[in-house]
Amino acid sequence: MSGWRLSAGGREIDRERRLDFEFDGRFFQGFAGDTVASALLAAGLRVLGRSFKRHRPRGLMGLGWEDPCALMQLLAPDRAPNVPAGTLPLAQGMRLQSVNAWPSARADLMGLLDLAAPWIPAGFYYKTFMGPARAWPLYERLIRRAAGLGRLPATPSPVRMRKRHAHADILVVGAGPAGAAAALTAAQAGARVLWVDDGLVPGGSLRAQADDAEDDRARQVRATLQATPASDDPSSGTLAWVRTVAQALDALPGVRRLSGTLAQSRLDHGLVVLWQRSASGLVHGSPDDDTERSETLWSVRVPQVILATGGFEQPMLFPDNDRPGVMLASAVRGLIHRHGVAAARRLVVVGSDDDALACALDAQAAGVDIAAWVDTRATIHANLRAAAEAAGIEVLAGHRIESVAGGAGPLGFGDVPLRSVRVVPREGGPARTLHADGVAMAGGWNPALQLLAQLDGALRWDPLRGSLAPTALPGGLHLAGAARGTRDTAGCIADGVAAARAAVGALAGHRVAGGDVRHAIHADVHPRIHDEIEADGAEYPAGDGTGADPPHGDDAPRAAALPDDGLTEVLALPPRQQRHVFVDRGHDVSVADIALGQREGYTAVEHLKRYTTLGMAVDQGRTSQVHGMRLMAALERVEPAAVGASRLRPPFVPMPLGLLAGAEAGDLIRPVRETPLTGWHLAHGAVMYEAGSNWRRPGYHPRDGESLAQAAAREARAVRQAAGLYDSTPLGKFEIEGPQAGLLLEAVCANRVADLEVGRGRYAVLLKEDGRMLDDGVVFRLGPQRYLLTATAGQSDTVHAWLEHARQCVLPWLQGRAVPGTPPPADPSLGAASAPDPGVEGETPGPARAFVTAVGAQWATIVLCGPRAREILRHADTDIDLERAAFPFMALREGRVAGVAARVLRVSFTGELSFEVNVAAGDGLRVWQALWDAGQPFGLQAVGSEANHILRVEKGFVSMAHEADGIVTPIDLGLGWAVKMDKPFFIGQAALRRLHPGPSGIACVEPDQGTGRMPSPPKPRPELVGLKPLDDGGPLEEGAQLWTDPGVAMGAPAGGSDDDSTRGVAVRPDGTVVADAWNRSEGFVTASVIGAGCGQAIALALLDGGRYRHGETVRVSAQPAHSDRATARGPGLRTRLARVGPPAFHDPSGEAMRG
Amino acid sequence: MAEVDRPDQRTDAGTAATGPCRAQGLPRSTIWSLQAEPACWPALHRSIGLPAPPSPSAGAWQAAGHEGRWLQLGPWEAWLCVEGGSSRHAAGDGAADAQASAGMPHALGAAVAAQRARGAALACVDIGDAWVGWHLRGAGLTEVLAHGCTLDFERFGRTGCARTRLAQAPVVIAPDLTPKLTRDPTSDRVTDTATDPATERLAPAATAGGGLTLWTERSHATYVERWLAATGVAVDHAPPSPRDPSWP
Repeated sequence: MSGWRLSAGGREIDRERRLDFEFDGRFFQGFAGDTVASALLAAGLRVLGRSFKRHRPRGLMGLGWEDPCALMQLLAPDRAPNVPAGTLPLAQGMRLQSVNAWPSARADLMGLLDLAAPWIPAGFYYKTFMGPARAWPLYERLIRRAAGLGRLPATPSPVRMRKRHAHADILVVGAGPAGAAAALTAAQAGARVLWVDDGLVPGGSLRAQADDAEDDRARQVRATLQATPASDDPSSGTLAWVRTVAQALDALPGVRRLSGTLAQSRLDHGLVVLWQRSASGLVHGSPDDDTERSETLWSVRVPQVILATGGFEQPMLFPDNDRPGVMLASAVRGLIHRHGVAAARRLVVVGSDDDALACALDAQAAGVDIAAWVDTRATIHANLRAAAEAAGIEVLAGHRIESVAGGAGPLGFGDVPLRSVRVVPREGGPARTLHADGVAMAGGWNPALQLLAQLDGALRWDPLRGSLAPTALPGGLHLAGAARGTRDTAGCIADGVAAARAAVGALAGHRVAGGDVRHAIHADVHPRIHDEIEADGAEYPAGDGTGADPPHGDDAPRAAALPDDGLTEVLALPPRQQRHVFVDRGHDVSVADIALGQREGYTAVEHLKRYTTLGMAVDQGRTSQVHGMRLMAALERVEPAAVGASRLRPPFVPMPLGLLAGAEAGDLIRPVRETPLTGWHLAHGAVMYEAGSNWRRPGYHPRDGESLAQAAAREARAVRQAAGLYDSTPLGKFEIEGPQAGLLLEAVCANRVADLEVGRGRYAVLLKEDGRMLDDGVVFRLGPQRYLLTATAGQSDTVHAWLEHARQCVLPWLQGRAVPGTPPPADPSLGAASAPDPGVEGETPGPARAFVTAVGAQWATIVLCGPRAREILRHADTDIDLERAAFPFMALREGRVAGVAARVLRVSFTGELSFEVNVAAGDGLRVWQALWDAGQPFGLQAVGSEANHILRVEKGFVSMAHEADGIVTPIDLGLGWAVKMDKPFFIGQAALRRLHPGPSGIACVEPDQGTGRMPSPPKPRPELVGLKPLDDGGPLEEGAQLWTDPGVAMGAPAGGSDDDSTRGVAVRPDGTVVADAWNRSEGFVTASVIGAGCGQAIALALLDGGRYRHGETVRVSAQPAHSDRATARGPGLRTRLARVGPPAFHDPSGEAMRG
Repeated sequence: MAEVDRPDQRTDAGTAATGPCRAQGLPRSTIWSLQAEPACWPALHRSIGLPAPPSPSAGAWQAAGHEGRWLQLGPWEAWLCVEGGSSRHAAGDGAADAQASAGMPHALGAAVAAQRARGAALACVDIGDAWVGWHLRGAGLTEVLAHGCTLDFERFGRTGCARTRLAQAPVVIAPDLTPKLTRDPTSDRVTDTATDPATERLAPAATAGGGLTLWTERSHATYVERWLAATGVAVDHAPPSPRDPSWP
C-alpha cells in the first residue's frame, strides 16, 4: 500500500460520515468532504487511469483541473466523462470507472501499445495509414478504439441544466487571500460584487497548507520561507480570516458569492461565462435524495474583473515522470491538509522551487518519511537548508532524477508501487538510489492567466520568474496574488486590496450601486487589510499589473532567476529515454516528440502544438505549456521569449455540452409559435409542420389512415372542385402609415404601389440591394397615407427589419441627394423623392415620415378558397357585398364576418377564387368555426400546407422557400411584369440593370416586340420553367439536377450510343452546341407534385436560359449522368427524362382566380 | 483538530430569497401602438399626458374620463394600454380607411386626429390582440426571469420598461400594470402611485418581490407559459374573454 489515511487532520473531511462508492467494479469507502482522488488514494490505490495514446498506467498527479492523469468516467449519480478525480467531490453511492482502459486501469490490455512507442511518435498518423485509401475506414475504426478517453453518456443527464444571466460591477475570481481581500475591499466601496471560486470552501491555495493559526511549526516554516520573523508575520491565521470574510460578505446585499463555480470564458463586451457545478457535489447525500441537482451556465456582464486565480504548479522533467506515485507537491500537501491522506510512506521531494521544502516539512509532520529533498538548483538559501537539516531531511542540491524504478508491472500491468528513485549530481558523479514509494515534484508555479489570454491579453515569458506573464493588462482586468506572480500571503492580500481599489476607481465612469457608501462589516478584519482600509488614501504600489514590478517579497530568499531544473540534461538523454520523459501527460507527448517536431521544422509554437498535440488534451497545457516552449527554445538555441506561448482558448476547463443548451431542450428547444387556431387543428388530427420563423401550422389532415400524399391530394382536389379553409395566420403583416408611407413602399417594392386606389392592392416583390428576391407579398392601400404589406411567414421578421432599414437609412439617403442617372420621376406623387422635405428639421434628413407597425400576430388570417368560396362566405353572416363587380380580385373590403369585424382581401395563392378573411386574433377561432360550419354543405375541407404547395406549384406561383434561392431575380422567375424599371428608385434596381442589361443600357424585362424574345444576357440566367416527366414514374425528385440530354437533343433515342453523345456534345433545338453536357448541371427541380387538377406529375425548376427552352427534353438526375448511363442504383437516383414547358399547369389565364 | 470545513450548500449565495412565483394571465387589453415624429410629442404630452421628452419608462395617462397606462418602448414609440375592452378594429361601417381613430377612446382619438390633421407623421394601431400578458409576482421574481432574460433588473428601476427577449421569445416587461391611480383634486391630474417616481418609497420594487407585467406576442404565449412553468413559476390562465367561445 502506498497511500493511507492519517489518523488525524484533514480539515475538509467529516470522519463521522462515511460514504460508499464504486470504482472499476470494486467497492470503497470514503468520508464526506473527500474527493474521489483522496478517497481512492486513502484506500491504497495507485493506478487510477490509462493514458490517451500509449495506455500507460497513471495515478493522481494534481488535485485540481491541472491533472491530466486521473480522469474518471462518472456513471452515477450524474453522468460525465473525463472528470479529474481531484475535482470530483465524493457522494454516497457514486459509481466511477477509469477511462480508456480495458478491462480496467489496473490491467489494461492496450497497455501493450507502450512497447510500440518508438513506432508511434508524434504525428505518426500523418505518415502511416496513407494507403490503400480503401482501407482507411478500417484504420479509423482501430485508431478510434485505441485512442480517446471517456464515453459520452447516451442517455439524458439526470442533472438539470440551466442558464442564468447576471450583472455586477466587479467580478472577483478566486477565493484565496488575494480574492478575499479584493472582494472585501470592493464590497466595502459599495460596488456590486460577484465573487466566484471553484472550491467548495473558500481559501484557495491556503486550503492545501497547514493552518498556521493553530500550528507553531507551520508558522516557523512560513517564516523561514518568507524571511520574516515568525512573530511579525501578518498573514498568520489567514485561512480563518478568509472564511470570516466569506461569511461577512454572504450577509451583505449587493454581494453574490458562488462556490463550486468556475470562471470559464472572458468574452467581448464584458461578458464572462461561469460554470456552477452540479449541486450533487455541493451537498453530501445519496443519489436519490430530493435535492435537485443542477448545473448552471452563468452569463455575467461585468465591466471590471479581478483575477485572483492563483497558479498551477509545474512538474519536473525526468524519465518515467508519469509513473503512478509521482505527483505534484501541492497535491501531496492538499491531500494531507484537506483530506487527511498521505500519498506515500516514504517520499522523495524533487524540485527547483522552495515549495519543495514546504512539502517535505508538511509530509514529515504528517508522518511520512522523507528520503531526501532533491533540488536541481546548485545553491539553496542557507535558511532553507538549515531548516531542512534541522528537521533531519537530507538535502541533495544540484541533483536530478536519473530514473525511477517500480510504479508499473511487467508490460505495464498491475498496480505496483514505486520502489526507488535513482539520483545523480548534475555536474556528474556517482548515482545514488533512494528507496521511496512516492515522488513529489515542485517545479515552480505558472500563473493561471487563462481568462486574460482568452480575449485581448497575450502572454510572454518572464525570465525573472521563470513563468509566463501578461504582455500588458487589458482594460477592466486586474491581477492579484499568485496570478500576478506574488508568492507571499501578505503580498497577496495587499494585491487584492490594490486590485479592488483600481477596479472601483475604474468604475467611476459606471454607476456604482450605493455610491461610495462603505458597508459596515461586522467581522474580524484581517489586521493587514484592516490597517490599509482604515488608513485613508493609503496607496499600494500597484505597478502595471503585469508582474514586472512585484511589490512584495523582494527580500525573500527565493531564487528569482532562470529556472534551473535540469532541462539541458534531459535534452542530452538518448531518444530511448526521452520517450519516457513526459511533457504533456494528457496526450503522451514526450521530450522525444518535441525534439522530433523541431527536427521536422514544426518550430513555431502553434505548429508544435498541432503536430505533437502538446497542450491539446483536457488539461489544455496547464502543466505542459511552459515546458514545451522552453524545450523548443533550448532545441532552437533561442530564448523562450522568442518561441512564445501558444494561444489559450475558452472555456477554461471542459464542461458538459448540455450546459450550452440549458433548458432549451425538448419542448423548449425553440420558441415555437402557434396561431389562434392551433388547438382546432390538433383536435382535428392535423399533422403540424414547421412553417418558417418557428411557426407551426397544419401540414395535412389525414383521415382514416390516409398517407400524406393521399391526404394532401384529397385536400387539394377539394380546393379545385369545392372549397378549402386554410390557416394563413403566420403571414407577416405590416401597416405603414404617414405622409411618406407611399414613398417608403416605392423604395422597397419593385412594383409601383403608391398609385393604388384606397381599397385596392397589388402583388409586389421586395429585392435585396443585389437585385435578388428578398420576399414577395401584396400591398393594399388602407387610406390616403396608410398601407398594408404582407410578407411570407418565414421572411416576416426579415421584412420587418428591412422596412425599418428602408425607413431609417434608405429614405434619408434618397432625400439627401438625387439618385444619379435616373430619369425624373414619372409619377407626380413621387416628386418628394428629390425635393427637400419640409417636415424634416435640420440639414441631415431624418427617418422617413412614415411608421411601420407589425400587426402579424394581431390578426387571424383565414383563407377560404375554391369555386364555392363565395357561396360559403355568403352563408357565414357577412355584410360585405361579395359580387365580382362590387368586390373584384385584388380588392379589400372591411365589414363583418360571422358577426365580427373583419378585413377581407381577394388574393389567391391557389389559383382559385379566394377570400382572405382577417379578424382580430381573439376572434379567430369563432370565425374559423363559423366558416367551417357554413362550408360543410358545400364540401369545404381543412387544407394544410402540403395541399397549398400542390396548388401553387400547379398554378406556377413561386415560393420563397423553393424557387427564390438567394440567386434568382424576379425576372428569372418570370415576374418581370412586377418590376418597374422606369420608377426613379427601388432597392435592387441598379443591380437588376447590371444583371439584365438591355440594348439601351436599361434592363429589358419584357420581350422585344419585334422578335418576341428577351434580349439574352451575357450568361444564361437560371429561369423558372415547368417540367413534366416523360414516363409515368411519379413525381420528380425535388432538388434533382437537370442535364442537357445529348441523345435526345441530337434527335437520337435516349441513352443513344452515337459518338457525339458519348463525347457529351449536345446540340439544342435552337442550334446551341453544348460541348460538355455530361458534366454541366444546368439547373434543378425546385418543387414537384402530382397536380390536383391535371392529376399528372408536374414540377417547377430553375433551368439555365429556361425561358427559351420550352419543348426541350432534359435529363433529371440526382447525380451526374455519366455515372448512371445504363443502370439505376436505387429509386432515388434514377435518371429520368422530362419535357420543359411554361411554369403553369392550371388555368394559365387566371379566370378561376379572378372569378 | 480544527472544525471541519463544511462545503457551501448554497447554490445562489447572496441573492434575495426565492419563493414561489406566480403568473396570472391577463384578460385582453386594448393596446394602441403609437409612433409619432418628435414634433408631435409636446402636444401628446399636453393632451394625454405622455412624457415629453420620451424616456424608457411607464406611467399613467388620462384624458376626459379615460385612463390607462403608457409604456415608452422606443424613442418615438409608446404603448397606450386600456385594461379590458374589445377589439374594435375596422368597426363595421364598411369604410376601407379605418385610420380615423375608430374605436379609440375619445380623447386619444381626438389627439391623434389633431396631429394627423396638421400633417404630422403618426401611426396609431390597435395591437391588443397581438400580445398576451401576465401579472408576475413572488419573491425572487427577477432571479427567476434572469434564467431567460438578459436585463439587469437591479438597474431597471421602479418605472423602467423594456422590449426584450425572454428565452428567445419577444417580450415586453413593465412594472405591474395594475395602476394605483389617484386624482389630485387641485390639478385634476391622475398620478399612478405604483410607478410615480415621486411616490417611489411607497411601492415595493420589482426586485424586492413586487410585481411585473410580462407581455409576449400571442403566437409565443404557449411557449412562454411552458418556459415559466419549467422555470418554477406557477401559471394561472387568464379568465376566458367573453368573446371567446369555450372550445373543447
